[in-house]
Amino acid sequence: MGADLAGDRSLIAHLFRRAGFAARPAELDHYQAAGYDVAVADLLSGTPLMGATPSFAEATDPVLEPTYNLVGRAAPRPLLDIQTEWLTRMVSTTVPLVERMTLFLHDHFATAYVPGDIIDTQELTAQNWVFRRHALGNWKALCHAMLEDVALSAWLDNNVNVKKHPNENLARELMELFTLGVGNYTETDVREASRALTGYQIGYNLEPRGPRNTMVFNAALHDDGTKTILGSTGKFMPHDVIDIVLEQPAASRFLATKLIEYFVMPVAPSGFVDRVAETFVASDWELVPALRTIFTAPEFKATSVRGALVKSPAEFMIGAFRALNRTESDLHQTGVRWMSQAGQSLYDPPNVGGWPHNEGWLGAGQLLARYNAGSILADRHVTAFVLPGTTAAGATTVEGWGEVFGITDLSAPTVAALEGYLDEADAATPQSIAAAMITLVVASPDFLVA
Amino acid sequence: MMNRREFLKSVALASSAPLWVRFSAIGAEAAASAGAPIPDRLLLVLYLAGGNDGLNTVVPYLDPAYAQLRPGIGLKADEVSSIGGGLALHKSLARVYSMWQQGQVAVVHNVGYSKPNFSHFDSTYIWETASPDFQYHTGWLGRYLDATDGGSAGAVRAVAIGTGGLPRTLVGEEGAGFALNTLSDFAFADAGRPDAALRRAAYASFGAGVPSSAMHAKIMQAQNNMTSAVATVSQVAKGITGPMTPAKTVAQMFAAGVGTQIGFISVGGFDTHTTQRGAHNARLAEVDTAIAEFFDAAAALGVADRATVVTFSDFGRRVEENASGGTDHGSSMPVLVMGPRVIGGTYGARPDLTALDAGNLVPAIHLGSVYSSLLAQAFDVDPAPIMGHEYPTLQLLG
Repeated sequence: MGADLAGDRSLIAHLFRRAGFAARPAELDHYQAAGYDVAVADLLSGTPLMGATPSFAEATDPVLEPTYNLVGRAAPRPLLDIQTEWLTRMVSTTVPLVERMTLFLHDHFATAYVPGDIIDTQELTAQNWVFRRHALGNWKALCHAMLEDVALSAWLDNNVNVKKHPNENLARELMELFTLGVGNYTETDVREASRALTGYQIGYNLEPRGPRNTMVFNAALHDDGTKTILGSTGKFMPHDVIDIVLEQPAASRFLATKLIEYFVMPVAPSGFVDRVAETFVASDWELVPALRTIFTAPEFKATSVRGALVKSPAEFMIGAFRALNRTESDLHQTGVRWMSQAGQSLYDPPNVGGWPHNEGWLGAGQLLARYNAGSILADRHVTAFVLPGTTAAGATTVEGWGEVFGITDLSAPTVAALEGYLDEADAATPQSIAAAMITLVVASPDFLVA
Repeated sequence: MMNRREFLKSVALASSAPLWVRFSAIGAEAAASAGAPIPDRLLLVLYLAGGNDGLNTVVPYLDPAYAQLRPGIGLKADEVSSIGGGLALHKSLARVYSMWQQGQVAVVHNVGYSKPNFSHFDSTYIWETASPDFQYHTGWLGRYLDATDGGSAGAVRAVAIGTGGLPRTLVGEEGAGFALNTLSDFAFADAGRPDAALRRAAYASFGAGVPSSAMHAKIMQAQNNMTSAVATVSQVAKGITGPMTPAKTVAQMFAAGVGTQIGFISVGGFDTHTTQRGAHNARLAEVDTAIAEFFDAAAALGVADRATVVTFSDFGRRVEENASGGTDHGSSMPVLVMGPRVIGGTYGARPDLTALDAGNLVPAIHLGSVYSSLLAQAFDVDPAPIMGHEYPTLQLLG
């Protein structure tokens, strides 16, 4: 293996840690041969990698299952059900960037399970599918779709934002957290935008398919007066607010910054932000050109950003399940609990600002949950463990175990730790060694970071 | 070097090389640095799950309206312990009554929020987040942890014992609380394996040496903190003999020197829609036992003088008994605050049973006032940023 190729392998592993949930050795082999640009193109295509057949999970949209959505006929499912369902989808996905972007969008438009406030599992599933459909689509179209989203509307009170009693919650978070950022609008803009956003109510969806609730615009509850929002004046309707906000120069830089800090590095450099922001302007808000710019940028390829982000519990858990090909749904249900102990309960972010990032995941109880998830998962895996050459994921060297988990270059202290274990392990069996290697790689700083 | 990496072959060659010695030394060092001072103020939250009947807890047993609205389940003089003013504690609350006599119990009357919500989930959510308008998704004590320390300085600051999961009360934006069924839960799941020590040694070595980046340094510190905390808690667990209950476990954690300052336990079974009398007697006896166990254990461990207990529930119950000898979901409740630092007595006006709103008590003291008082007086912090509102406080603690 030449030095250049070895370098590519490491870079491809980096790409898959960020744009997916870590590469498996077969994916590393395939894209090392095909080249980095092919890997980027395949991930951005949103079609199954390496010609894989999509699992049934990817083909099924539970929102559109008619038996599930008939008004008043199906009791809402427990939260754990839909958490497990999404985890399974992410573990088995053949389009990892679609799921990574869906996860990003869930964190961005962070909406939490509050069944007492209409936000039940049906509404959250419907919202999840809005994210998935737009994951590699158009940001402006997604923002328009979010205005019609029941869960977000209930979460930010736009369902009770009426002419007589305007509620500023959605207008404020739309500008502060979703599109512009603090400092790029005034309190007057919030008030005026909230007037333009008035008029939506939540109504039952009488169609046999689709979610049980839907947003209904009632002109009688809409403030049809003249508003001035961010310098524009007119008798604006709700969807006009999205267009006005996204015309602001700050909007493209805001989203570019969030994407760079999610996919590349903790603090986005200004020049990099400019380049990504320009793609939004040039393409009228298409996401794929922006993501291509990110994943092909020198800043992304630099070795200095590798390992610079702490994996969220979702990335961690999904990465471990994928590496070991553990697709059992009972295990995924346990995985939801492990993730929760590690600080991330899907569909239940702590507030509209989303989850913490990086250092925010390093609490003692959270790390212990990750460690224990790894050791229990390892035990589960080795009960099926047989020597390489069969379908169970495994390896015969310390470095090989790193590759199982998408790490092409384990750090020297981690290699030393694993070798230290091997030096000392008495009466070891292939199973006990495999269990220890899985436990320790999963617990290592190398796997904790992306 | 290579044959060592090809470990499947090397297993048979395993020797007692000096690596283990190095690993052990690192582990010992980490454990030695684990000791944190015991916080000056300790708060145990006791959740009465299901919606406790406040009127049969702090009982207006001489009020004619009480006897009239509760002909079947109303408690008589011989079923209560008088605390004066026509009020009494349910007889099951023997320890609470004895603390009352020592001036260690504050009864805060008629606590709630406006527009009562009668759903278990929603009303509990409101009590835990202290946010009747769903402004907050985080718990009031989770926000306290965020405001004072964030997620960086130890997940052991707040523990829920035996609650089956982390109660929202302790959920901060940085996930500061930790839930255990027993102390042994805060432990490595693989502790019983023959190679557990070797695994620990390898884990410890992740956190040794020179970090390669600022992020790596933070991770090494965090991993060392975690192993230290686990080691310390495990020492605590080893020192315990006899059966443990959640209440005793919280006392052990408070006294362990791992930085724990908040505990959360619960007693269930308070959703007494039918034949309430016997069930409620038994549930309140469990509550009383938990309080007694906690203070006895805390006293034995030398931390009782720092400790305060506060109760809450989903909601109070309907004033009038129903046709099944029980009570339906209601609104406000009395909150009990107990401990050596408490300024004993009653706070606020007792609820007026003749001025009801659709059969329910009209709350007089906002739950935010109780929480704000505890934050200010137990933890010496400004409650307003944590509560998102400036509530009037009551002088509950001295």
